[in-house]
Amino acid sequence: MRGYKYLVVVASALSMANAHAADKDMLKAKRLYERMTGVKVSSTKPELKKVVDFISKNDDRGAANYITTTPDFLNTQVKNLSLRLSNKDESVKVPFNDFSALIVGVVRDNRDFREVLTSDYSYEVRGVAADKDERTRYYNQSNYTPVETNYLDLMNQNTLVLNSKQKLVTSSWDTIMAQANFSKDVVSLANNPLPAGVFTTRTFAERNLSGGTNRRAVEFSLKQFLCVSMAEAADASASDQYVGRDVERFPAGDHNKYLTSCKSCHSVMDGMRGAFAKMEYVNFYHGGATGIYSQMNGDFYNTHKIGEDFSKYKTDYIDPTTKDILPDLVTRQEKSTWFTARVDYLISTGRTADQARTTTMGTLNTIRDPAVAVALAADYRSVSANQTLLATLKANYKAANYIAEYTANCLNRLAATAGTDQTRQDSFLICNLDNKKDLSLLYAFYGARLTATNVGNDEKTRLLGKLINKGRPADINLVTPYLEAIGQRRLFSRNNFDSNTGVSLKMNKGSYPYGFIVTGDQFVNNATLGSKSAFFGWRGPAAAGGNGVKDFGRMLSDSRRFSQCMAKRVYESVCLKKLDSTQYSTLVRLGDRFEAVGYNLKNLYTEVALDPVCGVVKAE
Amino acid sequence: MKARNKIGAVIGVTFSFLFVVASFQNCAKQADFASLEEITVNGGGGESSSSNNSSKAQTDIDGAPVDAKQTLESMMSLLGLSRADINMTAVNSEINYRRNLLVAQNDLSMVNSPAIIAITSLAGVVCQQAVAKEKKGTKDLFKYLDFAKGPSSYGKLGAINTYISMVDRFWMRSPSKEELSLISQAVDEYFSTLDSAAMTKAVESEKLAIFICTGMLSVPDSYML
Repeated sequence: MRGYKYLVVVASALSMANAHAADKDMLKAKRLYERMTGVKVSSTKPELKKVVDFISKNDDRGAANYITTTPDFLNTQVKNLSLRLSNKDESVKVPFNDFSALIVGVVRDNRDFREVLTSDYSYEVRGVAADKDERTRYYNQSNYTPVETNYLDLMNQNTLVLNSKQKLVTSSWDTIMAQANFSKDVVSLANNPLPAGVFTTRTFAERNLSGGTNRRAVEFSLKQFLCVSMAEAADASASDQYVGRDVERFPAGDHNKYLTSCKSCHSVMDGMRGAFAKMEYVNFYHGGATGIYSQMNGDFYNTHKIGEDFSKYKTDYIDPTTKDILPDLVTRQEKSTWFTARVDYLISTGRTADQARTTTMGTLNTIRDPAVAVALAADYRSVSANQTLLATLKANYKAANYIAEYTANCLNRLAATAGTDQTRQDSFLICNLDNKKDLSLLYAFYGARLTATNVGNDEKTRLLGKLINKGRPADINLVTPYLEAIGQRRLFSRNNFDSNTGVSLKMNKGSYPYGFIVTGDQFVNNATLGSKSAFFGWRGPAAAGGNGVKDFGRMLSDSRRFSQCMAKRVYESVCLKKLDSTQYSTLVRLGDRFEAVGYNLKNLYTEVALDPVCGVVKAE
Repeated sequence: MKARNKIGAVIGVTFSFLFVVASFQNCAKQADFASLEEITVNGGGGESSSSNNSSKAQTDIDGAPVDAKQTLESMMSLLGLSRADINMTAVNSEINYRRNLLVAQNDLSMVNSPAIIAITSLAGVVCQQAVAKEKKGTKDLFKYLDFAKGPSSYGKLGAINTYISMVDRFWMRSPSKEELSLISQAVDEYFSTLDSAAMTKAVESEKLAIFICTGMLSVPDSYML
């Protein structure tokens, strides 16, 4: 009996010990899961139970590796890393975009992470609205934003889909119609001649290549992928041979300031910016400015003869519209081809006939009807007091005070041109109307008549505004709605490139005669002198420089600093503490581990999470 | 870890429930983590009362808060919600409204009063989704509550058991005596705001579920990694 009691006591002690061990495993699994995925986890989550299984078998590595295959890891941890990398502020509060999608795709598909900076491919999202419409990728990012708003699972190979080639836009139709309802490809694409991972995404171009001189792209790249600020990369001893013409050599009249301050950064930055020389974030236009922008490459622009295509389009559509359709609009007003085409078009887009007409009248209300002006001039002439004034003006057409009020050009029409009195007076009155607008004689005459006939204020304002072309759009802004209405409005990249070299014109802004003139996309690495070489750990075929952004990507991604930077980023997101300067050996060790695991970012997460310095998995 | 547990133990229930009550009444006290340290030092109770090192700097806290994008994912993960379970329009509307107040990075110093208010408000909307899910399907998180009847049918015990079950799931531990005492007081206080007719209304069970759930999700243990 005593033996039985003893057994019961031992059994309960063992069971308590087992329960305690199970609790410990669970808490360890929870901590590992939460740190690696960035997501809090409940005890009922099936993935956590698997992690516990690994841990209970003392297989921490297996547990960590398993976590990198979970949706939480990709959809939160990796997505957040990709969002931080996509903007200079390193904020996660930016929408998901093509830059981020490429990073997430590379990680999900276990690709060499260096390909983020060199790949020919891109990723896009399927299963979202208008996913066949290339405008949602090349003119905006609405293909990518639903990843977050629709809570999509990026693990799904049918959601985040690989495109084997990165492309650029040759031209597109400018239509409000959805691709699904449009018989042709809305956007025409061709392969990007020089793809380079995230560097050739729209998001990168939007943030780093818009305006400016493409130096921002260098600063951003060093900061995001090497964790090096421009101040750290600066080298006062480097040659300033490649510093551009726009950099002031005598800031505030002091050349020493340039030598001791400006040159340090620009020597490195301008040496490297050649890599981006042919790249632009450019406006796509149809003759008039639009708010549509996309990335473009100078060689692509020249090879695909986009400039010639636009010239042909201008000759075939814009010029004839300007020459024939707009004069017809002015003279025939509501009966014009322009007006009827716009009304028909608006009706075809779902407006009622009344709505279409009212909308189109809005434009017509800004365009004078010449018949009305001629009739007004005749009425004006018929008043004897007005004839007296006209005679006075004619007699004094050279007098300075009259010239000041009525302009010499108009007065000459009245007094010094051929024709009858009537034609000269009409010519003067119309000239005066065009020049003086609401201070003209006809305007005042018309205003007084409308008041006398009790025309309502709104109608009076409309008629007077129409008489003086108040708010009339520029011709090109009347041309493009017509081309839209007849289904011939197209978009072409603006020509921002040198036609021979393909170099973006902004690269050679400035006038300092001895400044470097960029004639190609060659770049040099000027951050190689002295301690800089070891600091960056340049390696590989492009270590000293190369041609184009792909080589630039290789230069960065082959450096030791790249692997260390990625290790640092992963360390900080998993271990939730800064890797400070006193932990340089840890940085080097983790960077080396990243390289040892074939630049597989998932494996890097495992290595970091299990590293004793990180402290996520504590020694028993 | 101790410092973090101290925060959880001392303010876990008091702060969360009182905060929720207070924020529902639109008179939430401004509090950030610096002041929470004060609460830990002066408030005593739990582990902190038996410890003399309660004045540790906040940097001793092991871990960091979830960042803006992790907050919603974490809440949905804790409640076992997937995209199919939620009203995306409602959740997106709330996250868009609160996004800029949520903690921008995994940085403890960024946890401030507006961030806590944002987390609490977001938690309320996410908890609504969990309640809606369980009303339609299998009851799990809220199995101790009866959404077809008012709180009088399961009483205080149902509320406390729901709390204990969530502590077990979310934090993987048992509530301390002090926490139990505090939740008991909080539920008493909550019930005291309902008259006898309200205690029999099914809608009050939903509100109670959201109340408990929101309190659970808006305490540091639920948003600290």
